[in-house]
Amino acid sequence: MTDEPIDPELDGLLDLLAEGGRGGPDPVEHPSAATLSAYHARALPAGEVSRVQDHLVACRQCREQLLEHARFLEPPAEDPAVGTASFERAAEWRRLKERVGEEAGAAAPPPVKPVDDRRRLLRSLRMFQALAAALGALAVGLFLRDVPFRGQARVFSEESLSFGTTRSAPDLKEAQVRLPAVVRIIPEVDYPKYRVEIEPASGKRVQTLELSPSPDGWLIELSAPGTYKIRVLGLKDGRTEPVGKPKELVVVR
Amino acid sequence: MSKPEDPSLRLVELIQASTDREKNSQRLFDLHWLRVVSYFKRQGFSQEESKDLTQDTFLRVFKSIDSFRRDSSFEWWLRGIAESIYKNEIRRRRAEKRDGIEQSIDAPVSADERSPSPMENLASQVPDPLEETVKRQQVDALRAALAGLPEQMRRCCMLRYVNGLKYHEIADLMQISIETVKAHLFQGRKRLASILGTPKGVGMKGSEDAT
Repeated sequence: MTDEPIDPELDGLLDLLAEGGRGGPDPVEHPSAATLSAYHARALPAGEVSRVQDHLVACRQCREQLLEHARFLEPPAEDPAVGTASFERAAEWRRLKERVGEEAGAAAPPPVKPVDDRRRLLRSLRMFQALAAALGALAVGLFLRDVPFRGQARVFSEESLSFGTTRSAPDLKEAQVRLPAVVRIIPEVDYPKYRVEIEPASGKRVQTLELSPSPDGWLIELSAPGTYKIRVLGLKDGRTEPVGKPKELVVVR
Repeated sequence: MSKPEDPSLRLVELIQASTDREKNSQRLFDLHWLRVVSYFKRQGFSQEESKDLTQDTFLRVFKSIDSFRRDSSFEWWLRGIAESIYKNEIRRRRAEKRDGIEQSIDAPVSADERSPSPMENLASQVPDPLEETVKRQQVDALRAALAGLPEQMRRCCMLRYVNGLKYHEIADLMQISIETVKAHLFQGRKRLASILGTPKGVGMKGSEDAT
């Protein structure tokens, strides 16, 4: 179907009118967003509709708003590149949630309450008290720095004992350690397994440990003062053989 | 005003009332995410850029949703936010581009940029006073003739001939069918020609490029 009669003279005049009309300034006043939205939703009374339509003829800005809104409301094309798949939307939602969380975390610091002079004075008094307490604690610490405390980080004294050489004869009273004490036991003869027996001179029960070979020997803690007799035995083919001679260790406080 | 059964407004209402806030926010996001992505793609952004700008849009939506008064449709409000994000992005890019451009002050002037000679200027600037007067009178008469048309016909003619809109755009704006727009334009031209005494009915213009 054809729509508009051809009339070159009229077209020429309309072009002249258009030249003067286009590019002119938009009206200064515009309908509110609520009014335009209602106009678009066809929810305005007739009188207002007419007013808005007259405005639209004169106002490029509002025309563009309404036309863009109409395009915005068109159902989006099922363009695979847009990624209509729900998983992509879900991923974008998760991303948004993270961003909301980040922004909330980076929000402005909590407002500082104004303090009056009395509070300020009280605060400086408290600061002075805290400073005095810290200085006092430092003085006591310096005074008592050599006194061992319970709960202080423990530093073990260590004694190494080698078993298996002929020269390692027991040197009974010289091997002495201070509590807290550990003894490092180093066998000098190879066995697939070892047994270490620690016998307190006080007659208490003998402690027996079955141990596998270790290049650095074994560290054993001795927690009570006293004299201990230490034996090392090698276990091979169901047999038990002494590794060197027994040794004695004295543990003192 | 928007209808009360508008699903988006219902969701906004629930969010503002802190009823299942996260679940309802996600529903609102699901309803409109693709629409906003499409909006940015339509403005010429790539898929990834559009998704990023959509994120920015929804971030702002959910930050300010409690202040949305529901006096316009949610879609209107959402589009307004998307548009604002779009404008900010364009502004930012322009600023980046401006900062990045180095222009030599020694660059030669191209032939196109050359100023016209004084004689050329004179020739192009002197109008024929009689011709100008006739044209002005004709345009005034046309304006008066347009003002005499029935209001909907006048609006259609103005939108078409002065503002250069397409049929479907006029139909959208005036909330009438495209056929009604065409009828108004047809009748309008006939009346204008009759009032102005211009020859008419020489032929008919096709509409292939008009919609």
